[in-house]
Amino acid sequence: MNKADKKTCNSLVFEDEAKVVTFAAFTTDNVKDFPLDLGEVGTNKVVAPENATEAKQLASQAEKLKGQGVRVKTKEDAEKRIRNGRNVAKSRTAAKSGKAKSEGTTR
Amino acid sequence: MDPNNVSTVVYQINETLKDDLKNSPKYTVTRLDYTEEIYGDKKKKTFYIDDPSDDKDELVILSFGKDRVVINMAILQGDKITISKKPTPLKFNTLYSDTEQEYKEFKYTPSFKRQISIIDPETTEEVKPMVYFDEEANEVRGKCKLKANKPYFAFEIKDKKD
Repeated sequence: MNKADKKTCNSLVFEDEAKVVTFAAFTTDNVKDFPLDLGEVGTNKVVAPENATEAKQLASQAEKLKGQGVRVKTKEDAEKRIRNGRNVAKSRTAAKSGKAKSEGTTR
Repeated sequence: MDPNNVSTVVYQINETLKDDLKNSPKYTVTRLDYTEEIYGDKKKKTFYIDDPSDDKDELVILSFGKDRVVINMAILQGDKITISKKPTPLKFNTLYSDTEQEYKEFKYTPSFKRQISIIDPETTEEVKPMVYFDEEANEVRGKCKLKANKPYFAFEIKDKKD
């Protein structure tokens, strides 16, 4: 089982008293699906660049997934952020789109 | 400065923009890149923040030892870093196994409202989940690989109210 040791679950409160870091050590015995004792494992990093197939698959399902409450970032989202003056997103998107352009050119 | 058998990693805490809160966690973390210099049996690590905020940046510092991890917090303001004087050690329960274990995959339904980071204390590398679309279940699923009989460390930044 993928059990978090409840005795070692702990948390530290930040100075602003608004957020806490909660942490736990867990030891795998027999790895099984759904490690529920650890809570629902989640991530907002949709897919790594190396998983391009999955990224394309998710992008193609974006609307359906959004309907299910899943956050999917597409090129349109990035362009919208640029229009809203988000400089950081703009620079990152520019770097990525530049890369994509050069890849496209070489092909 | 990391002594022998200790490896420190640092995470920066990011607060999600209000516009994006509906389907995202309130706080996410970014692992900081570092360089290291070796002095005898010790390693001096320098961590880098790409995009420091004008006000302050909050950090989580994790030092992994042989059988424990020490969790600490810090605030970076300009060139000044303030580190908590009360770090919390957490000991791992180890299960002895004399055979090399293979990675096993487990599947789960991810919650995009939570970002839980899982770290292999031996390598201090993150266990990266992969998200995919399950055609049969018609939903997004997650999967990642863990070794059996092995300790892992997990953490999450949450709103205190939660």
